[in-house]
Amino acid sequence: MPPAPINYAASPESLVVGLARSGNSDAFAELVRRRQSSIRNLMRRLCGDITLADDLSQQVFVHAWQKMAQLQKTDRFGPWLKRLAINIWLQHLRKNDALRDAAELKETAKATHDVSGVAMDLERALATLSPTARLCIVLSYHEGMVHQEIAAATGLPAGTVKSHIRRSTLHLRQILSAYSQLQPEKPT
Amino acid sequence: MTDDRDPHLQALFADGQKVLGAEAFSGQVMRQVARLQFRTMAKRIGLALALICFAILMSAPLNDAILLFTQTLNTPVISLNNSMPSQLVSSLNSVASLLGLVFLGLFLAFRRLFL
Repeated sequence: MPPAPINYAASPESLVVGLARSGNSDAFAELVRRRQSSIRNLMRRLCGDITLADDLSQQVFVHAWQKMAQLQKTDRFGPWLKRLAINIWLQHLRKNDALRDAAELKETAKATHDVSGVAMDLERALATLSPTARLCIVLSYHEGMVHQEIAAATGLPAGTVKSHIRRSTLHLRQILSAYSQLQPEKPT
Repeated sequence: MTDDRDPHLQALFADGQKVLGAEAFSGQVMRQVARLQFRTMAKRIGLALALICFAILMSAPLNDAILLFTQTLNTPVISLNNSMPSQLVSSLNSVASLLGLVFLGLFLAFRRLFL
């Protein structure tokens, strides 16, 4: 009698990770299905471009497949994948001359400040930050990571992370104030 | 170090979270993974074939080289005419034992100087 097929969707993640680590591509496909939404959302927040975000997210999963053997603890797959995503984003920034991008973004920020009273959504507000500041703020607010974790994940000094988050929060609050005034009051 | 977050900003980030459809995306990822698996397999087969060809081509010269090397190791350093003492010290009176002594000396010197 042939063995019953494994129901990956109903299996605990540590088991699926273990199977994927041993080269089982069906198990890896299940991991992609489970984690794709969070990684794509993170990438969308980081780059603000849906197509690029999906391309980079694909790179994250392909890298994950190549490096699965390096994953020591199967229950740490989520944080490990997030770390991979951050590294892919940092590589992309380095490749595309982050300094040039930052200069362009500062110009965008200046332009948006000039248009007062225009409600901006979060995506456009995030686009006004420098790539490093954006990375820090997204990891803090989107991923709920603490400053030390962000410093460890990005390789930035903890003090720099803290100041990026503080300054970017003020900046975002300022440019989103028009948007928040337009938001209906939520019942308490 | 405090990690206080602005509640309004946090609410905006939470509202922006979307559940994205998995099928098309995971299909694309798995196609890339399949291509990668195919390429890895092709590389391994290519490497194995190259090794087999190398082994076939080099077997005769390698054999000769190994034979020459072992003969050289057995060559006596000092030629003794008398066969009896020559046989007694044959294991010490060879290039191999001389090389062994040289390596031992180097190892001891390295240990004394650096460790």
